[in-house]
Order: sequence, then structure tokens, then C-alpha cells
Amino acid sequence: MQTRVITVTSGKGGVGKSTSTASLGVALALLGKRVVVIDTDVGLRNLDILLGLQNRIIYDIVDFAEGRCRVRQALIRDKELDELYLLPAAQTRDKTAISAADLIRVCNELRGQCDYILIDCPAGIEHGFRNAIAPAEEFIVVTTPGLTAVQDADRVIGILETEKNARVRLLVNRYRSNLAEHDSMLSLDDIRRILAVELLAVIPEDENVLLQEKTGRPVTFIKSPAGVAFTQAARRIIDPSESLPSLEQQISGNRLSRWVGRLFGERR
Amino acid sequence: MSKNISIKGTRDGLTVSLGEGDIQDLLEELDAHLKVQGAFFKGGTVAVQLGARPFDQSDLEKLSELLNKYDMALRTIVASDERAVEAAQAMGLRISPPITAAKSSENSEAAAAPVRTAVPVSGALYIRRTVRSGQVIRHSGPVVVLGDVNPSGEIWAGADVIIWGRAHGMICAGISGEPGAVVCALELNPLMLRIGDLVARGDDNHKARTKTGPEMARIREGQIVVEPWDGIELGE
Repeated sequence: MQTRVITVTSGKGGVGKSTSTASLGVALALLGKRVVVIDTDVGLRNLDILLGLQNRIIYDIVDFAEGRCRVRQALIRDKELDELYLLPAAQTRDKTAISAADLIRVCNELRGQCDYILIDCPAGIEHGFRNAIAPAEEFIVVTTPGLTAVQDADRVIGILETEKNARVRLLVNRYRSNLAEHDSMLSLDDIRRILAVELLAVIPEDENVLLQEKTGRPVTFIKSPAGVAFTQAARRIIDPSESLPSLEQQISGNRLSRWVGRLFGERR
Repeated sequence: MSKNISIKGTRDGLTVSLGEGDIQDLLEELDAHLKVQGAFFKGGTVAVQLGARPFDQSDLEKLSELLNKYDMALRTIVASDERAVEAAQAMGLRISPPITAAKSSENSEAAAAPVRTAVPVSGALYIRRTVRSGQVIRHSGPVVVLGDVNPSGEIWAGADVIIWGRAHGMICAGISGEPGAVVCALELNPLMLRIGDLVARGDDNHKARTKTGPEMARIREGQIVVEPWDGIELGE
């Protein structure tokens, strides 16, 4: 079994790294893949909550790093999906409790035993980020349509391009096409122009993401706009030639509305 | 090609990796390769990856001579061996540490802000990529970028800066006090612009000037002036 190790990162906090990791993990598992999601946010873990597994944690990644358990003992199987596993972070320590070498060891032990390892990266570009990017050969950079998030994504892409000879793809989260015409928002075109990397997916703003949080069932379990978009993103991860019809619609719809705006003499 | 030597063309020129084995043998092997393929690489700059292998100045000179024989210039050394680094410094070559998994993860300080430092040369530095947020390009001569300079990316040039793309970061030209330096870009909308000792701030309204044509900035009568490229007379 060929295992692909993908780190989900962003630089900025709060743009939806953990939500994206959980949603993509669920989507891949629903599509029949065996998936391990790893929370590397030691001290501020939350992937366990998003997946509703917080009451099942016995061992965590720090226990593995410090030799108290084997990787498999720390893996928690999802309540509903037999092929989805979580390796949780510890909540009591900080980022320095694990090292890049620990993450590489974890992934090496899991290689060949699952299809995908998704690593949820902490915010920032410090030690925790270094840990999370060390074992991966693919990266998903998450951003939202704001200048701060895009600039941080740009920084992270720069680091990945300089240091990793890896595939970097962009996931634009919480996109609101109705606001893209607004001056203070960045349109999808603006974001793509600035970041100039391959676009994996555009996830529309969707309150269901928030509503699903307390159920411990990521939005991909239900038929909602964001859930559908995450599932399509997962299809595109599996098969890069897979196109995104709704994405295309979203883009063309966007262009159309701008064009209509121009017709009526609005200034962009 | 043997497994001891690999030659790769990259965006930045040619990269030659020397593997294991006796240096004299490797150089002979490289010579043999270049005899066959040398014409193809003629005029290029070369980065040589030495890894951690020991390499002294005489080895480096031999390597440089060999490349010169085929009209190629040794520009960069990628090495961690102390003597190799010293010898390369003495010869005025660019040095970059080898990127290893351990290094990129452990040495986060150095890796976090990649800074390209060039030794004083009169030639231009050519960058063919996007200069992203947090990346800094420093060069004692002119800098040419084929690509964008994104917000919070920085260019520090001893002379002119030419950007065939969008200049949205911090652009500094003539930093060694060259008042005649100019900054040209297809879209000149930097956060900050510095020419010689003068500094100009970008527009506060980020989107105010997104639809401009190519422009050039230079010092005129003691201040930085930005003009459309059309009809500019460079003069002297």
C-alpha cells in the first residue's frame, strides 16, 4: 500500500486547518481510503473534538515520542468510519515535547499500512510547524480571502518551495463569492494571482461547519455546500485529473457577476 | 552517466552533484561528460553540490578550471565541509549550506528567513520566480526579477531593480548610495520604495492603483518620482 503523507498548514491561525484536516480525512475515508489524521498541535489539540473522539484518548503522540507506547496503541478508530484513525496530540505539554524526528518515525511506522496520512499543523512557522512539515511530501496550504491570511500563506508557500521539493496546493476556505466584489475582500482571482500555486479547492462559507462542530461529525458527513466542496477536494486529492464542476461554476458565476457589474457601469 | 556524477539543468543554471569516490577520478569523469555534452551547457553558470565531502582550495581550482575549459562559470558551492566553504569564500563564490531533512527541521532560525546573499559583483542577479512574503533578495549590483514581488517580500539592490511582474513588496535600489538607480516594474505598487537615501511609502489604499501600466521610479530634484514607462527618456 502506497502511503501519501500530506501536511495541512497555513501560517495564520483560525483559517480552518483543523476543520479542513478533519473534513478531508472523513471525505477520504468515505471514499473508501484508509486514513490516519495526526494532530501535531501539542498543548492546543482540537482534532479529537472535531472528530468527536475526545473521550477515547488513552495514549497520544507525546507518549509515543517518549517511548510509553507504540504508534498503533495511540491510534483511535473513528466511531463510524472503520478506515479513519486519529493520532491525537497531548494537551498537557507544549510543542517542544515532540521533534521532527518523532514525526518522521511515526510516519515511517505507518507507511504501507494506510492510503493517506493527513498531518494537522499548528499555526505559526516555528517549532511546531517544523515538526509537521518534516515527514510530508505533499502540502495543502489553507487560506481565507483576507489580506492577512493570504500574506501568511505566501510566507509558508515560500518556505515550502525553498526547503521542500514538494507539491503545494491551495485550499481557499470560507469563500463568499457575494463579497468578492467588495473592495476589502480578495476575489479568487486576486488570491490566485498573489499565491500562484495550484488550486485544490474553494470551500464556500457555510454555517453548517460550525453547527457540526459540537456533534463531532465533520461537515463532510452531511450534504451541505462546504461538505460537498470538501468531498470534491478529496476526490481531487485521490485523482488530480478530477475536475471540480461546482468550482468552475463558482468561478464563472463570479466572472459573470463582475461582467454584469461592468455592464451597469459599476466600479470594481 | 555514472551514479557518482549527476548533471541537472535548473532554473538557476546547471547543478552538478559529485558523489562518492576519489576527487581526481570524479573530475576526470566530469571532464568526459562535458566533452560529450559540454557544448550544450556552454556559457552557463554552475552550482556544484559537494555535500559533506572534504574539498580543498586546489580541488576547487581544478574544478573551476575544468568548467572554464567548457566556457562554464562556477558560481555556487553547496557544501558543509569547513575547508570547502573557506576555499569557496576565498574564490568569491556563492555558498549555500546543503539542505537536509535534519537541518531544515532543526535549524529553524536560519531556515525561516532564507536570505540570498551575493558577493560583490558588478553583474546583475536574475531571479526567475515569485519573491514571496518574508523572502529577501540582496545583491550588490542590479536585480532583475521575472515574476512578482509579493507584499512583505524584499529586494535590496546596489543598483537598478527591474521587475517584469508586479512589485508589491519592499523595493530598495541603489542602497550603497547610488542616487542614479531606477526601479521599473510592469505594475509598480510597492509597500515601500527606497532609492539611494530616499524612501517613499506605498499608497494607503491597497487597491487604489491596481490598473496601472509599466512605470519607472527614480530620483528627480531630491525626491522619488514615479512616471509611466511611455516616453521616458533615460538620458545619463
